[in-house]
Amino acid sequence: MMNESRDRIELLMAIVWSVLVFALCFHQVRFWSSNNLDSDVMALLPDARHDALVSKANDNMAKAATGDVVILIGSPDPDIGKSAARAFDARIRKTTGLLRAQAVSENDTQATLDFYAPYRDRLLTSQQKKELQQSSPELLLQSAMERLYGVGASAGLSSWISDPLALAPVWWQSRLGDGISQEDGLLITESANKTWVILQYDSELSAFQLDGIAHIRTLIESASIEAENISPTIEILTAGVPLHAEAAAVRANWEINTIGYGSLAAVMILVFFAFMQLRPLLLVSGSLLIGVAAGISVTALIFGKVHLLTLVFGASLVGVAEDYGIHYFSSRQGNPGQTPRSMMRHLLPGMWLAFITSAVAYLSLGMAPLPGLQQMAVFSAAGLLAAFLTVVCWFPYLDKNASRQSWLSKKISNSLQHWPRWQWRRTSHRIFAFAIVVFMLSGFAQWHTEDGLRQLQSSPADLVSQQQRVSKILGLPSPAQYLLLTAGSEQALLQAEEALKPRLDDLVGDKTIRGYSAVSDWVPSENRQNENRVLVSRIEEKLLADISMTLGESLQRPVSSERAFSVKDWLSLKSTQTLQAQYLGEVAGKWGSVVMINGLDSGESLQRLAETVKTMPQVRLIDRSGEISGLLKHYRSKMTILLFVGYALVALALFWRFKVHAWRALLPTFLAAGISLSATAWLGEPVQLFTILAHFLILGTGVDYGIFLLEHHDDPSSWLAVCLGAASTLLAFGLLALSATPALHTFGLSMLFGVGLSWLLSPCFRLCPETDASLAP
Amino acid sequence: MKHLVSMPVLLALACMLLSLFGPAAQSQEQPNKLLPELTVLRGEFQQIRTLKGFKNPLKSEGRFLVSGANGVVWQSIKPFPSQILVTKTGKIINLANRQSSPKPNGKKPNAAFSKIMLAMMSGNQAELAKYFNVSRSETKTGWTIKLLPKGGMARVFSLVEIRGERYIDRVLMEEKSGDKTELFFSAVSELPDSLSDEEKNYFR
Repeated sequence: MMNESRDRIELLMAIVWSVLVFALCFHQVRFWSSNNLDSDVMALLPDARHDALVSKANDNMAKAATGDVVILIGSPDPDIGKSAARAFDARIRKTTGLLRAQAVSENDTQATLDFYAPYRDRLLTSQQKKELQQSSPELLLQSAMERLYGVGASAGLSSWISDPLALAPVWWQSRLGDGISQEDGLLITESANKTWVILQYDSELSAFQLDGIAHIRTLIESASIEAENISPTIEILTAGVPLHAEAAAVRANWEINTIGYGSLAAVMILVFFAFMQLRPLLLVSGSLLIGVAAGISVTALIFGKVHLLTLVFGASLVGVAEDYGIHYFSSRQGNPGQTPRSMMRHLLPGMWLAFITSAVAYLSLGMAPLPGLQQMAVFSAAGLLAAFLTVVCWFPYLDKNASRQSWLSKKISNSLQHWPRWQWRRTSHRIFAFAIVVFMLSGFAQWHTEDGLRQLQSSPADLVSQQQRVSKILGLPSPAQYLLLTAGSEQALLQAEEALKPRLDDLVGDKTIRGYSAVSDWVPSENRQNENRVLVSRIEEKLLADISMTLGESLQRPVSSERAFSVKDWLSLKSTQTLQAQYLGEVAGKWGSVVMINGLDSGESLQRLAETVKTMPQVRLIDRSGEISGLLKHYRSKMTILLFVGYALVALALFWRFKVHAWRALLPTFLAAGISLSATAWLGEPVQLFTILAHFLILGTGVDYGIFLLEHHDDPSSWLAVCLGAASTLLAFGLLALSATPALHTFGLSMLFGVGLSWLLSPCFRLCPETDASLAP
Repeated sequence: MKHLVSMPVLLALACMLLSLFGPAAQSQEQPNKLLPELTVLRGEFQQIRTLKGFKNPLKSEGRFLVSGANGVVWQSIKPFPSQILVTKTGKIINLANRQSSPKPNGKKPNAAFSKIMLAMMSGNQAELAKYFNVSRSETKTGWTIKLLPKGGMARVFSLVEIRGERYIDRVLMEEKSGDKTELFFSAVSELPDSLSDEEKNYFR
């Protein structure tokens, strides 16, 4: 009677769960067809720091550089450098579909010159303005006369009379910088006693073509050989986002193939040989899949969007749920006589506890007021619950025949009897314990933390250093550190830039920064344009009158535009498209622009820049790498505290079930985590956000092993479940230690030590046969 | 990782301005010499400039020195005394104060122009062919070389013409803007064919 009603409840549960899973599928289809995945790192910050202008600026800065590849070919002898560059370029052009040489069209060039020509008297550099204001008419007359009678053609942009002071060439030169010149059709710059030829290409490879083959790298290498055939003394530097993207893709491809598929295959082989059936494999995978899907759906329902990082880490955390399914199948195999449903009833208390401890550990992540961690907490707890319910509700119905015990599972199951048990009485055990404590303490002494962006980057060091040298030689500003200006209108914005620039000029003067680039360099504010025009026309008219007097001429100043030009006019120019990315336009009622800074190499110059703009309310220093590092640090320290909270809550849950024996489930994991921390410290690995994440996972999985062994003590099939679960967790995460990305490497290494040791240590603290009676089942 | 945000801007614009002076294409395989290439050439020049808006032409005169190995020195005498060195690499140096001019640094835009002058004076056709389509014709009294500007150069010059007999007699430069400059050379001599100490000092 009792059993009948229990059967009915279980069937009802299975049906209700099926309906929920069906609803889940429905929601998943909707989720994946709409774009609800969030990849903006800034979205992980507390809400107050969100800003539409900042995200637009970040987007613009990142987009502007995505396709460029820059090659520098350097040689002390300019002619050798040029011939090498030609040979290099010829080789690149021979292969189509990879790199396209950037060329500026003649029409765009002419259009740009024509655009600015009518506004010639509205454009002055600050230096020119100062000189014009200070110089005497006599001096100006003298230099104009010298130019009139100088040898050679005036060869300027316009006739002598429309620019008698030669203002336009100087203005253009200061727009373009002194550094880069054109010789024999090649762009040249000089640095460190070498002449560098600059070659520029657009990558024609789309992101989808990143197939693990280094197409661009190979082409550049073969072109380099051609160039080195001209002279082996030349030096070739490469830079550009596509090169880093390709290196990352090649590396990722290798890692996915070896680490990803390798570990997946190993786990499948292991589970298959343990059960000699396909069904357990499929069902366990199915439970994980439902878990991840539920994590996504619940997170999306609560938060509206799911962050990409939540998805990645949440899915890893849900991976712990494989332990439930494996536990069930191991027990089934060990007790083939029992029916699936009675088996499940027998396992349920231990599984509940394993689930609750893991869920509590994960939910403690959500206690910090950080959106990213809250999402992760919800995701992993919901995912874990769904996977758990799938195992509990469905498995007894879907599993028909218990598998025979395989040779492998027999071997593993029987190994428990011979596993050493911890005994305080034995001297050798005490010495061993002492050694472990010494090791842990000595490891903690080596502890250091690291929150830089570098941990997320897997670019080869060589590529990074070349990129830095190219940036330095060409004076490229960093897109991650810049000034953001905000104002109530377009003109107010340009005026704000013009108020800022003298201060930046001072910083350039004392070599804190090397230079800067602003929209108002190209489009002065209307006020500034009108001021310039008044100044220039007054001086030019006086000059032409003086010359007319001296030479007996009657010179007439040619007309120029009455009207100032606006940003809108300027945005129509094709040749300045990349500069236009610095103009953000109107975003939510505010106008914004970016001033790029060149030469922010040291923390000191960044700080001086910050001090300089501190008093200007319209100017904000955006330091993306600093912000992200700060964010990583913030998350790391918060999560470290929460990890201890997690341990405390898990200890409470264990005490509630096991009373005085609770320590037997917790101590192995605690020790394993401690040894893992000090072992990674001994290896010189810094503690970072991903180390702490790994420790949450160690807590989630390690305690499960203790629980299964305590609940079903000296039960070989529980031991089999622990072994299989631990081995597959190690294969899935531990192999990440091979990754070239520092963050994944540290994560994998911590998991390798932590999960490995809690697996090996858990049986050491299992109950002694004589204390059997004291444990209430 | 540092990105390359302003790179294309800089280069695109550098291209734009500098292509005014840059070559349009590579030199073709042609005999390298229009004129006998010289080690040293000295002489006098007179320049007549006709500028838009001016009723009268502007005249100036002085001496020049070409050293095939070093460059050209222009020494104006009337109406303003000045000494300008154009080095073989295209650098312009005001010898009065040893300063590169015009500010800043006398960097490149004018370099191509000074190289052209140097090439004209020393008869280096390969250099000229980078900027112009060169055609040479013989006349009764001597020869004429017509230089039709190509590429960015066409934006500055509409025509350059050189006439000569034994040496260059006249250079005519017509600019797109309508300004025109004519140089006449006289008393040209190859001797003495080595530089005096004072002359060497120019190129130090």
